Order: sequence, then structure tokens, then C-alpha cells
Amino acid sequence: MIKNIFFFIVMISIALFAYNIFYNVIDVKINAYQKILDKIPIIVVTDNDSLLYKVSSELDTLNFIDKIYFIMPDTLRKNLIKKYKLETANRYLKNSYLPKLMKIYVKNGKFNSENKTKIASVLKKYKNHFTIKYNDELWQEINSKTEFLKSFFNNLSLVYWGIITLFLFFLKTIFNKLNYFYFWKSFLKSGGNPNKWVFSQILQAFIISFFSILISYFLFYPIKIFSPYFTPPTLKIILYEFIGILCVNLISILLMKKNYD
Amino acid sequence: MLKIDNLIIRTGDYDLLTTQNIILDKNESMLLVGKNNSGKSLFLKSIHKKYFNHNGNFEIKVSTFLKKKRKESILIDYENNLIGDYSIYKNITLSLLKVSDKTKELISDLCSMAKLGEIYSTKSSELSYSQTKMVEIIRAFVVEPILILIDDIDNFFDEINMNTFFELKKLSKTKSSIIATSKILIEKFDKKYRIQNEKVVIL
Repeated sequence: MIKNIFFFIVMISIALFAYNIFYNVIDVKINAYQKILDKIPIIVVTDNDSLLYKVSSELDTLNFIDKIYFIMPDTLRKNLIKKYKLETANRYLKNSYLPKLMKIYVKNGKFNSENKTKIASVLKKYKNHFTIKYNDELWQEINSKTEFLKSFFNNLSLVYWGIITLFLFFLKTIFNKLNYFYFWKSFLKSGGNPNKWVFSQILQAFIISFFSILISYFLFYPIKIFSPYFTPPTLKIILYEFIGILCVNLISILLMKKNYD
Repeated sequence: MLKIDNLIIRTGDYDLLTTQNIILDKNESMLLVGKNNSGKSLFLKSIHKKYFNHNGNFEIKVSTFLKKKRKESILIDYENNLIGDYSIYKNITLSLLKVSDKTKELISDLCSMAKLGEIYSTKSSELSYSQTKMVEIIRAFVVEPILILIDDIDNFFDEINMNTFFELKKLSKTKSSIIATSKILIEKFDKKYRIQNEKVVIL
């Protein structure tokens, strides 16, 4: 039995490790896309001071807003002179009218369609007093790429967990050289207690799930030496994986029993 | 301990077999002799709680503490109940979640006595019919239910193997009571009954 448990721990650890690596690759890719969006702020242009502060305080209530910068006409003038080397035109610029700007930055990875709509609904109320500058085409392009990657990962995860369930079931069958119909028939006829068997299988499932998660987690540390981009899974992911592996094990136990019932 | 009180085995609406009072203590063995279609197998299946067309009472008694731990009955019949790809040892320990050293020693001794010692790790698919039945009986002695029910024991064993069966029973020091059915009389059983005119009578 110990040989059996050890074999499954090794197999599941490898499968989980491969899954985590794949998750990391997708995550790095998505983060790279989102970093492009994070650097591009939404710029609100207006000459109405009080409205600007009012909007800013409304936006502050949204927990995904990272920071809001105000650029006053004087600062804007200095920036323009510096950027376009307009020192000689300084005198004319001093007398010219410049608007006030507000730059809105969103937290890393939070600029999705839902949050974008939330910002838009705040700004929409005052749209007659504002001019909004934002590269929406770029946002659309990057958002569609990240959404594609996310749905690709989710779909592949479903297929992955399905394959793992069947894999475990058939592996158990092959490993134990079992035809489950005959196993149950012989088990019950030999005086076996099905409840005790199920309990021992659940206990095994816990042990296998726990140790395979632990091993697959620690396998990331040697990998990190070669590639710092790879990070071990977070506690939330570990918990999901633990529940996933446990469910997979329990489903394979049910499949075994169902084959006889 | 088994206590049977006026048990009537029926097929459809017909009373096939009537049993008056039988009491079987722990470690006792009982033989029921009868012809084909006399209701021997249904009698065992009723006690095994797999056949329910019967009237009257039977009670399988054991102290409350032990009852929780022990299986009520194991039925050994014509069917092969071993897993072909498993060794003799693995088949014997199939229902045991833990096998203590003492149990291992007992299995080894019983297998040696049954002349299965040398083929201990042989797959059960390579055994003869009587050898598979011998393995099933050893397994029952190891599991030690309250009752071991053996249907048509005379079909499994010749005279030599029958002696081995009783030696195994002695060696295992089993607390299980044994009820066997047969078409012929086997003297070594503690209690012997015959089916006569659809009634179980003591011999």
C-alpha cells in the first residue's frame, strides 16, 4: 500500500508541477500585457477646478484606482517648455490659456472591462465639462489578448482536470491490476467492510493530495534559480489545487465503487 | 452463536424447508445433508441475509463489543471469489486494511498446512478449483466472521482435503461457527442434520 501511495504522490506531483509551470507562463504573459495598460493613464482635461476634485473624490472610492495626479496650468506649461524646448516662447505661453489635467492610474492588472465601465460611469455624469483622452483602441487590443489567454487557460484547465481524473482512475486500475467488478465482488464476499474501504481510500486521497501539493510547491525553488520569473503558487492557488486533487481522488473512488454498484 | 427458531424457507408460496430449533455455539460446526433442490442453499442464503422469502426467526448472537468488530457471515459457494491476478496472500488479505505480524504468521501456517505454502505468491488464476476453495476457507478463518457458511462442501473436497479442512479449523483456533451443506454425510462435523420430508432433522 505504501508503494502504491508513493507512486501516486510522485505522479500527481509531476502533473501538478507541469500545471503550475503552465500557469506561470500564462500569468507572466498576461502581466506583461497588463503592464502596458498600467502605464497609460486616463487623462481628463477641464478648466473646472471644483468639478475635478469632486470627480477625483468619487473615483477614490473605487478600490482598483491606484493613484490620481492633478496637473495645474503652471506645471503643464513648464512640462511643455521642457519637452518641446520652447524656452524662447515662454513669454507667449505665460499669457496663453492652458487647461487643468487629471491623470487616473489603475492598479496593476485591474484594468479590465468591468472596472473600465465603472470609471466611465463616474466620468459620464460630467462629460459636458470634460474632455477625456485615452487610447481606447490599444486598450481593446490588449484586453482582447488577455481575455483570450484567460479563457484559453480556463478551458485547458477543465480539460487538464478531466484528464487527470481519468488518468488516476485508469492508473489505479492498471497499477492494482484490477477489474473493479471482480474486486468488489471478491472484497464483499471475503467479508470486507465497504465503509471501512471507502474511509481508508479517503484517508489515502488526503495523504496523496497533501504530499503531492507540498512536493509540487517545493519543486519551484530549484527552478527559480534558473528563471526568476517563475514564482511558486500562492496560498489561494495551493488551496484550489488541494481541493481539486482531493476531488479528483474522490471521483476516482466513486468511479471504482460505481463500476460494481 | 446461531439460534434458529422454527424457520420456514419458501419458494413462491410453497414451504420448501422447515427447521425446528437449532442452536450452534461458537467454534461449533454443523452439517446439513440433503439432496438437490431440497433447499440447502436457500437455507444458507437466508442465514446469510441474501434470501428473504422465509418465515420464523433466526438470531446471530455475539457479545455487543465483538459484534461491532466481526462480520456476521461469509458464504462460500460454487462461485470463484478470488481475484485472478492477485497472489494467494493478497487474496487472503483482501478485506483486511491492516495485517499484523500475528495474522501474517497465521496465514503462513494455514497455507503450509493446506499445501499452498510453496505456491504462496502464485496468482489465484493458476490454482485448481479445490485449491481456490481452500484459499477462500483460509480467508474466512483469518477474517473470522460469526458464521462461516459453506454450500455443497462435498463438491469442493475429497476425503484428504476434507481432513485438511478440519485441521485448518483446529489450527486457526477460530471462534466462528461453521454451517456446511452436503449431499453426503461427513462424520467430523460436531452437529449433523438431514433434510427429510422437507424438514430438518437431527442425525
